[in-house]
Amino acid sequence: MSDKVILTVLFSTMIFSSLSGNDTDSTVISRDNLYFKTQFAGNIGLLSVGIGKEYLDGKLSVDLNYGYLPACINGTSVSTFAIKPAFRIKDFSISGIQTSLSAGICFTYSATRNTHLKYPDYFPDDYYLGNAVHANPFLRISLFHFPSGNNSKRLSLFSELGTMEYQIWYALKNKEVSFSEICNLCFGLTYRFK
Amino acid sequence: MEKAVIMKRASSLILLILLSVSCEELTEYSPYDTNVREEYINSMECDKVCNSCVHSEDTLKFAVISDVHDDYDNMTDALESISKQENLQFIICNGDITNFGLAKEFEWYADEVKKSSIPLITLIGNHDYRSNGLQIFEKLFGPVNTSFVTGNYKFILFSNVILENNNMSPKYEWLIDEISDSSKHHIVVTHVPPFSGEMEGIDNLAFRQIVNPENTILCLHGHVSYFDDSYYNGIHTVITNKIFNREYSIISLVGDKSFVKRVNF
Repeated sequence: MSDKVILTVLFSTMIFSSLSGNDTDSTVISRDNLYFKTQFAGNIGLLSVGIGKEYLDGKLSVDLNYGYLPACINGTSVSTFAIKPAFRIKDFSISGIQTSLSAGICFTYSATRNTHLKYPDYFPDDYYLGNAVHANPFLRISLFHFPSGNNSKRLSLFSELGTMEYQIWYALKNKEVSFSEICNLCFGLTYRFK
Repeated sequence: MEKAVIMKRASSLILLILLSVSCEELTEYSPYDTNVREEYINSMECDKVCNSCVHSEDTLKFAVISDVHDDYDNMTDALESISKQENLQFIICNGDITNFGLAKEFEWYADEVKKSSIPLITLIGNHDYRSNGLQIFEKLFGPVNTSFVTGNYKFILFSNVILENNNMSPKYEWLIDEISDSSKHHIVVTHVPPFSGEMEGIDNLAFRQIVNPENTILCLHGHVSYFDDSYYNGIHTVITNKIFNREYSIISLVGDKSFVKRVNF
């Protein structure tokens, strides 16, 4: 499973190298903004869309997302609602590209077969905890500032390295489950409204 | 911006998208995904049992493990211990191979099955029905109700999970068909013991009427997380402890007699 780690590194390297051209426009993007986002994968569906807001000069962002996984991809359809708070840990610049590293947790509620927040009455009391909700920690790298025009300055590209709460427990508990097996990547775009 | 730079950026992004789409392991769409790498493991494992050399038509020795859940390291140790036992023909896992019925859990369990040097046949448990677990189990292992014959013995693996199966009764008509073959000694394997709370009332009555001492020499169960060797409804009944307690059972069959040994590893 080390191929996932290699691909993760490869992904980051490719992003940086592909975007580090000769651009020198260093206009500072505005923070504390409303934004629209779309995301591919990341355990909230094949594709998801969402809307969010930045607070505390962009140090905290919170977005609400809806993701869908169609049955033709998966065999059964899954609808997922997610709230994703993230804290910006560090800002840095690579060849004029403003980059930030954030950490957060994606809280999800999914509707598919046999998922419940509260189990039906025919189950004994306290038989199971609900299985429709998960908490998925992630690290996000965002690339701001595409200096080819005013509108493109509002765009940012991001990628997240994520996992799931139960998978962390399994990896801690079992040598048979490695940490590289519990990681996954997602990719997305964010568009700021101003 | 230079055209070359734009082209470089565009091609990198296209490559990234292709990379992420083509590599299933890299991206995950949902924990409730039903995509799995393997298919019909039980039927391949049953074929191995049926095609293997039978020392005697009327004697048989096999191991039972149960309630693996998320204890993959303990399962590895159990399989290693079982592989050192002599003359074991196969292993039965008596259900609950996951906690939440999620694809990743099934695949981690299937990885353990692939490591076993002895054929391992898996029964579905109540936890495995959660989420899309039923669909995943059927893809990965095959039908939840299945049977196989070795020597003079017919093993009937019957899913008697009710609550997690939308409160539906088990398919007793399938069990009646399977058990009507009187040419073999029958061993009935279910995850939930018939005396468990989930099978109170009409389901307990139905099970006891279908599975009786006239047609069955041994019943095997799991679910309750303790070992038990007793008689229920006049049939020798063995409950195998969960693997977390680092224990499995070895069953020896001689004619219509059955003997059980608890093994700690």
